[in-house]
Amino acid sequence: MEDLFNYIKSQYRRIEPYSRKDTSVPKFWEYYFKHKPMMSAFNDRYDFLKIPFFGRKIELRDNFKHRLNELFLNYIVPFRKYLKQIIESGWRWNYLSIKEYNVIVLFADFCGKFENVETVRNINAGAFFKMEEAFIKLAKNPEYQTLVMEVFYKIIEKTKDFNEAVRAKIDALGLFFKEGGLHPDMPYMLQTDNIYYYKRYFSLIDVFDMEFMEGVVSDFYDCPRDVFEEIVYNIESLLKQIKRYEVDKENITWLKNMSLVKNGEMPAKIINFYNGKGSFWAKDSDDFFKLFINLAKLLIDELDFILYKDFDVLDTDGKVIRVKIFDKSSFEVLFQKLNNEFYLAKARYFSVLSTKIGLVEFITNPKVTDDFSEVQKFVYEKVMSMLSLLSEISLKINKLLDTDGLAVKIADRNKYIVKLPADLKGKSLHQAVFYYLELFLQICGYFREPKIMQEIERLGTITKQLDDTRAELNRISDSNRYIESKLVETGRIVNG
Amino acid sequence: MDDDFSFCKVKYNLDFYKILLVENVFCIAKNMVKVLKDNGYFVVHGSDGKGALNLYTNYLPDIVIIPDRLPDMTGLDLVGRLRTLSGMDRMFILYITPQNDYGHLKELKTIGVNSYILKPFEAPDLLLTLRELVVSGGNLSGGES
Repeated sequence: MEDLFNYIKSQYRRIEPYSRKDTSVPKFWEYYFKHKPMMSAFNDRYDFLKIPFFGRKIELRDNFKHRLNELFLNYIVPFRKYLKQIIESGWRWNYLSIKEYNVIVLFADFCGKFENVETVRNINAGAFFKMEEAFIKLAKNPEYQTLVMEVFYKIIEKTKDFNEAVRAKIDALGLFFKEGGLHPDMPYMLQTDNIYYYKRYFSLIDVFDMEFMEGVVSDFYDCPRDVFEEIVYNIESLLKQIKRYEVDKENITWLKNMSLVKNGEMPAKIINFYNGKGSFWAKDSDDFFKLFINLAKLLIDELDFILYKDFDVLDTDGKVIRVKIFDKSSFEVLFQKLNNEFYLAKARYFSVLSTKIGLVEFITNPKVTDDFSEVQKFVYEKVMSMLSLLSEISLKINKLLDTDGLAVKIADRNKYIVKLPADLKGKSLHQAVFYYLELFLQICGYFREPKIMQEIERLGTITKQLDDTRAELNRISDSNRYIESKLVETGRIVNG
Repeated sequence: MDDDFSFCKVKYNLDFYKILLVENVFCIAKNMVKVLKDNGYFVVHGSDGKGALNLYTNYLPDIVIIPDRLPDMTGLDLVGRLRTLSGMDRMFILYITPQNDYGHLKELKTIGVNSYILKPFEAPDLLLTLRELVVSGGNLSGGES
């Protein structure tokens, strides 16, 4: 983690400006005839400096220290309480950009350096110039000042602290950075201290003359190490979440494609199966219940065959082998229940004359069940129960397909080609099992089996969760994705 | 939703193709069968036209590889016979020929050959042609070795 932290810091380094002001000691005549008159004129305004008539021993009056202290108390102290919170947690807030966070880091740096300036006794020059440099970084770029203010507006609005007085304090912070914004303002204070320290006159331009480049990076959070560790941990967890959502999405999309037929299309697999067994889908479609009961009968016969009888398969040399594909014990209970529901539905439906409900009406009218007679309600309940059992069987087949759970082991399933039953002829054993899965799922999807439909409906939620998580990852990741690459490289995240 | 009720996309090889290789020269057939099996194809081998027709009806292959000459009929005869059988619309024919003249290649296309490969050829050429045949869904005009 230490290595990664240092690497990221070096990749997204803030470029430090440097001062170009001329601090050389002026010559005697230059001091008396150029600098001293200008210093005196400058000092007339607030009289912070005691400039002797003879000699160069300039002193700072106490009112300078008082004013500095006052500026600190009035314009910096009100915001200090938010800084720690922003630096620790600001990266979590989606309303705060990386640039805004980093501007606040710059502001916090300035505040810390301002606090270190001793205002009671003599001002420590080292501390003062550090504060000056931090101030200039903010003051030279109006965008940074605006961002600092915007961040505080946003944060204070989110907290219960917001009121007009607080808003006025944020407005005042804008004045704090500007020349002429306050009386006296910070730039004037800096000018004063430079004159005092270097014993020569400095214009505002001289003081602010700094090699200045973009001081705030937008590539990654300029945060301390402990915060960095938290961000990395968060990126790791988001990557894992994305992986889970992607797998979920892939699986549900697959289920959707397997189960649902496109609008206006016929359920070809069901129809081929139904007609292939000697029934007539188009003819039977005028009576949905009759059609479904017929279909259930065909399915039960098929299941009876695949669970209890052998398949004839061919190896590459033309040798016929008899094999069982399914292990009946896994399906027996479900199969028996399916049988029971079928007989109950059949007995009830065909014992009473009932109004016919066409297949098209059943499929296209979601309220079709509202007008069902008692018999129809009963049979409908059985239809739903059979579909539910079929979805359970499909799920079991699905879970077994990519494992050795079927009677034929996975490595052998593409080594043999089905000879009998004839309707599976030419398929490998794997393709044969897959055929049943496709058929059962299309039946469940076409007749709207509730659990399958509910599972497919999750697709919208999963897609949204995936998009949101990706957006969150994009928001907090470094621009070149070094952290993600490192996590993959070190095996903390499995890629692909 | 019950956590147990979630389906997984089936990943095991569904991209599975059965090839009927018709070749009467034993050593050539042996090598080709090995190359094809090593590359994941299910391969059955027939050494003459009648045997090939028999194997076709049992295995319903996805691809039939036919040479120009066979002991009991020509490759073109076999193509013609196969194309009259049911289910042939879903099967691709790859023809192995030594003749590179336009008239012959045009004839192959006319009688229902999906792709051809010119003799002599190397294993990678064969595999590439098969791959292209599968990917294109049989809509190739020809393959070059």
